[in-house]
Amino acid sequence: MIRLTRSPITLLFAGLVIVAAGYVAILLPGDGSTARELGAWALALGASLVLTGMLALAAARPAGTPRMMRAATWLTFLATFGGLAYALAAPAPVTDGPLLLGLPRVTAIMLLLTGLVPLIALPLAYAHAFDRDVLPREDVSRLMDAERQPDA
Amino acid sequence: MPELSALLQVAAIPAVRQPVIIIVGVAYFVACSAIGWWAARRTKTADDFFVAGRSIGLVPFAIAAMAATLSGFSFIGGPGLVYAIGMTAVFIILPAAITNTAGAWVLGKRMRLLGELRRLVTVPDAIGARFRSPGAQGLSAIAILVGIIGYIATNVLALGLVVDALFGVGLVPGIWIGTGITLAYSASGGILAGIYTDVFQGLLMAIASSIVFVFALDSGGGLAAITRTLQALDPVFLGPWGTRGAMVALSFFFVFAVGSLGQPHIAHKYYMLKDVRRLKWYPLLMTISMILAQLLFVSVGIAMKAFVARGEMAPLTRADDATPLFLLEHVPVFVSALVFAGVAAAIMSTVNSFLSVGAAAITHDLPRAWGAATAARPDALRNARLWTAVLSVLAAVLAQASGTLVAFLGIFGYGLFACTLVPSLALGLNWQGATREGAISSIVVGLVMTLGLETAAWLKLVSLPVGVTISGLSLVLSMLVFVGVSYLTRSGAAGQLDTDVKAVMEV
Repeated sequence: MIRLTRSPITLLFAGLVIVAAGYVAILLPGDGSTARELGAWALALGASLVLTGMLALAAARPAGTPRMMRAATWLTFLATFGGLAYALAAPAPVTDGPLLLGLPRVTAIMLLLTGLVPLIALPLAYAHAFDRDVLPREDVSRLMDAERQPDA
Repeated sequence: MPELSALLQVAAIPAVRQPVIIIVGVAYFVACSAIGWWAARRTKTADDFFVAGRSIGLVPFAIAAMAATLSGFSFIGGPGLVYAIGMTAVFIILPAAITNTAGAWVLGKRMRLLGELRRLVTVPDAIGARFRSPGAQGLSAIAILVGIIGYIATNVLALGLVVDALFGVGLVPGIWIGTGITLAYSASGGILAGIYTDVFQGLLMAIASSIVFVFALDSGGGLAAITRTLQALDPVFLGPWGTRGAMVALSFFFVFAVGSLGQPHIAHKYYMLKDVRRLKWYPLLMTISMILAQLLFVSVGIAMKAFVARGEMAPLTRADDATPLFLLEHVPVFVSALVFAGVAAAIMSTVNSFLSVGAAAITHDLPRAWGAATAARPDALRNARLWTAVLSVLAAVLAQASGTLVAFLGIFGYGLFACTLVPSLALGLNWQGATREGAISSIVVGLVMTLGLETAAWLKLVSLPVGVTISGLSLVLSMLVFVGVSYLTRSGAAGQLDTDVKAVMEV
């Protein structure tokens, strides 16, 4: 059963290596501003991959990852990394920059993507997939019945 | 630079002594004591004491988890940090968008199922069962104990500061009054009392935070007006990364997003849910309650900054004064009273949860790691109560020690839990390829790195560049060690999985 979780673990491991590389970039002597820029991109990508890898790992089943869980996992990655990357790529804030929803536009878009999308999508996807994919009633019964049998 | 020390409340809070605030404060403490007394009468066994008899319904479970997650930092230190560094501080709470659900998704189902099958009561229990390893259970219990003593001490100190601000009794009496009330319901009613006081406290926090949010935006002239004022002062303040820049913000994001899955006082609560299938709506309820309770965190800090920018208020001498001064000057006194009770509530709910986890580590996990049976012992409940009292007194004594020592002890709690528990718990329960060698190695690396680097930093022997945090470094390294060692020892992975644990991991 190790195979079924190979991809999420690879994803997670890649994310961890990228986060570590981000920290190393800052710790090494050299041009501080370039290192900080590289480090920030590495942390944004690495942290998003680590979170995605953990969600994917937990959603994996022997029969494959349920479609709704997979969709929610990848949506989370796209929204999280997309929001952070958008903010990293945006020009520096200015005194009279445009507003969106009462906040500076770049900040608002970053918060909408990295914050609001997973905030809404994840709990709804979890609840929607719960009865069929996350924890079907028959799976719980089977698990408990197996434990009640002496030879189980 | 802001490290996890930003989460600590170690400086005095401005006095808020007014009759209404004092009356509400007294009423709050009486209500907590009454709930504790009610719950104590229902606490008959160690199972009741540590996991509330696995009898908690969905709504109290979600509200209690929210209350335990938030400490006084959400009401005092957090808004102060927003006032000081703007959007950078928001990255401490931004991961909650994912972690509210990730807790149930990654940990909740499997911990609750395993808890029912094996009658588990602690987080180290789950690690021990997963890896069939008393050593991993004992090591994780040691890590928890090392982390919680300082964590409880800092929270008890914060509680003393709140009690002093409310009643003017002085810091030391404030510490003992706060500790005494928390201890009374924690030792008598255990986590059962904790859950029901958490529900009361969580509701109070959410209501207080929501009301203050409305006042903060209204008194600042609306969010757009506040933003325009702050843009003119410093466009970076409400820029996407705040005044400390992207690297610090993203370090916060990484540590608080991943680290949330290793907080024992939250993970431990999954055992208490009456029926595992009630997890279905837990993420949504948790999300709603967390949003409400965190509204104050962001709004007060930016509103206060705008008042200062417009010259309506002198710059704060200490950022942590943001909430108390805002309440005293911009909010009706009854609302202020609710918020101050909410601050005490947030601290007490966290302390209670940690006392339960700590007492369980001493009376349950460490003896088990040494091979002793604990569950059926007739003195289990008495021992649990005794050690809850010992930990409370120890924390109160420590809280009176020098501020820097308390701050040092409190700093590494969150990071230590993250780097010692996330690999073996959050990854271990979901990855059948993980091995006990990987688990033990990661716990040891997390402990040594966090303690070593935090001590060296406290002694000023090492200094890390802006954006690199000890907690972040330790977390990423312990996770890499866990995956790497598990891979190298993968031949033993299948043999370390008991049949029932494997079945739980495949559900």
